[in-house]
Amino acid sequence: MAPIRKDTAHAQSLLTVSDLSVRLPSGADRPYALQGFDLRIGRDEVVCLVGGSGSGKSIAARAIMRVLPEPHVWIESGSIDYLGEALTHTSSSRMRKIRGAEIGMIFQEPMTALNPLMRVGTQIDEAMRVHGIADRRERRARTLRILDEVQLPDPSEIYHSYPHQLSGGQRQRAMIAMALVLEPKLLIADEPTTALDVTTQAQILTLIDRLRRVHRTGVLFITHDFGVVAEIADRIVVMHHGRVVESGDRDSVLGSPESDYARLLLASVPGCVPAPVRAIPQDVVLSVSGVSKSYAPRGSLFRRASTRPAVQDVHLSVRRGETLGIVGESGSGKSTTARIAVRLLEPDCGSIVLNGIELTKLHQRELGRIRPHIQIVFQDPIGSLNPRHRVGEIVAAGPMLHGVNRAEARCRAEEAFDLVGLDQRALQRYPHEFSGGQRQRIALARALVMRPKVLVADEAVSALDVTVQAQILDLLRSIRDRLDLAILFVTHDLRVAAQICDSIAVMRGGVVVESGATGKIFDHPEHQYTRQLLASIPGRSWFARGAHHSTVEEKAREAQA
Amino acid sequence: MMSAPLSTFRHRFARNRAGMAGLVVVGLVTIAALVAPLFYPGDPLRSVASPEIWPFIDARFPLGTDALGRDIAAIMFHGARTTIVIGLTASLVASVIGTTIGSLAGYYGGLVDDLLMRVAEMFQIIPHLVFLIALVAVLGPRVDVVVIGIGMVSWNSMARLVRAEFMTLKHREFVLAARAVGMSNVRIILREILPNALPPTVILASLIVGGAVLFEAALSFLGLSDPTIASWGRLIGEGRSLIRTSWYIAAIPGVGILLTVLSLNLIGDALTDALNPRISIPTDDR
Repeated sequence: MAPIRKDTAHAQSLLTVSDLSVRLPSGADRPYALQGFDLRIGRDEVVCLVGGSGSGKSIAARAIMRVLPEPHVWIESGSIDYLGEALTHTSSSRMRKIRGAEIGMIFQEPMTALNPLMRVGTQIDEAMRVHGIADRRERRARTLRILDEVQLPDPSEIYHSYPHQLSGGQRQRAMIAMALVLEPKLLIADEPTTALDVTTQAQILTLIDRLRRVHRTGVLFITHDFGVVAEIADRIVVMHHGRVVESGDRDSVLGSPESDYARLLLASVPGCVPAPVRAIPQDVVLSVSGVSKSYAPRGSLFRRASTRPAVQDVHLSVRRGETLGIVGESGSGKSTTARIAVRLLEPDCGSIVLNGIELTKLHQRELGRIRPHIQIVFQDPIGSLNPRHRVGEIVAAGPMLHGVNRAEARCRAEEAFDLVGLDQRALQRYPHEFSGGQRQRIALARALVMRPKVLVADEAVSALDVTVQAQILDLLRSIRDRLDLAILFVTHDLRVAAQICDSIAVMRGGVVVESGATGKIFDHPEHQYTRQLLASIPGRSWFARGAHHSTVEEKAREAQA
Repeated sequence: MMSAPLSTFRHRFARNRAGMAGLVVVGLVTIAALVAPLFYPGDPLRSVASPEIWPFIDARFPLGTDALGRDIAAIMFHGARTTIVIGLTASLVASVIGTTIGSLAGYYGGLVDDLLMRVAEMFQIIPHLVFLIALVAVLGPRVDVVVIGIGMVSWNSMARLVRAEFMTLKHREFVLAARAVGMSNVRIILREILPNALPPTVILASLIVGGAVLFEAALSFLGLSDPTIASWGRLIGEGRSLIRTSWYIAAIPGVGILLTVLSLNLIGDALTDALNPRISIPTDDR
């Protein structure tokens, strides 16, 4: 964590936004994307804009850059002052000069923000060319210098590479290089680390912090993750429904939030406190042993297929009522393992025993009879429900397939809806009428209506806002305890795993590198990679041991009293 | 998508003026087809007057008569039936074949996909008109043969479209979820995936109708359609020899075909706009 600098409050103001209102087209869920929005960024200062999805934080960034999707969304009133220049009234040709040269921007998804058909060096070069740096050699030298500065290995090789040849972290570094090559005074970073793995995220955060100090760049950092905020912010602006609900320096907002919404957000941040140890019966419900799976891209007549191992020799076992977390970064094989356990994928070898029955030897028809015992919930709350069916049909379809009559299936769907905390009347509606969190509850109801013994949650809370995530985790816990359900909980986020898992298996490159009780993994990690994962958790020092939870809760209690 | 209420779809379609114009023309042709037996009872192919009366001269024959003294207006009205019936049924045949093959190939992939797509390629490389002519020459110039023949040369694009839709949709999580509750493959294909693949299919089907109308006209032009049925294409073919003296005989059905096919394409475009949510006004709030 960077030391807190007291001088930032007096730093020269770079950007001042006051009383900005941005209008949405009629028919949107609210009339204004932003209302009475105020923001000030000084030189050399990192201001974090925090809020849930739909809070208007990205619209704020776009309004400052004047890249709103006009004429549908437009600035109605207010002012944006950049070093004495009113950006709301600047001509579009002047604005083009400001973008890039004065205010740089980096985006969430480095794959789509870079042109896949252009070499990385050429793209950075182009940014300088459009801003009138005519000397070819100078452009090349500056490109190489900035690539070196963002700590990309072998800049001259990267210069000639295409985006797809770089890893996600390298692409994000290239994006940052492109944004910084013109030495803008202000950098707007819109969720720049959200799509990255946690270890890469830690590196990028350090990089942004270092560049900020070297170049005295002001940074507007947009994120939904309070861990990241604690890591990098000087000041924090919390947004909700297009309004600023709280702003202040980091320690005061994180330490003693004043608004209810900020308190709620902070209380929802998963801490790194392992869930309390529970007594768990010894009977194993699901055991996976020696499972391997390789993906073989199909060869053709002229090219032999080469196989790529996704999962190698994985052993796991889950007991009744236990929650086992599988934690790993993207490409670690955690989702493949989960899908093999549910037999959505065929393992190459190994055995899966559910309730004493060996699944790998079963034929399709027998497997169909076993399926109700092991159910899965997916990550994407939009993609996992068929948009053409009423949610009642979606939930009732499962039991009806297994010979339950319509009325009975209907009854069970209603029960399942009660269980996940949804109104039974909602059974008549279509998936698009629900919010993300509600959809995830429906997906959960679809799984629970089968009365499974084992529930596989494949990144089931990863796409949700932190407050909703906390609710769904609570729900999962209470259902687990009530139904004595075994849960296989797949996640990339150790903080989330700590909240709910009794034990954790850490995966990397298709192999389980370490497994054990959650407390042990957190307190005495044995494998080097586990230690690295733990060290990369953003805001760990702030949210360590859940200290903030008690203070926040105390505050909440005081407020109520 | 279709999950948006039907009224939204209607509203979006109605906003497209070209599409509405197309709908009006196709509507008129359909009405003509429906009322033909009322306005022009009896066989439209019998001689009723002296040959080659020009249009707008004799009030009893507003569109004139052809070289055999047959009423062109009667042939146009009855021909509209042929056009509509053959266009729709041939498109239906093509859609059924294409959707079946496309969904099987897309869903199962692998060997099934390879086999079915090779069959599709075979139909793709056969010259369509030559295939139709050969078929009619062997089996005789009957309406059902023509319909099935046109269907057989038109299903290719439908199969490819449906296959592509299935290949992306089968990896969506709701399909995985359906498999996880133990749904059978047939059920997944019919109930889960197919309804989601429908909007682009409907658009393509409307375009295939236009193609089928052209095929029917071409066959009739060559005199290879059922000689007992009135048809626009046949009228063009018969008017061809008199094109220098009585050009209206070929021109009237020609304009009819032109307008009908153009209108079908306009409807297809309008459907694309109305069914595709991505062309809507962005209301993204982020």
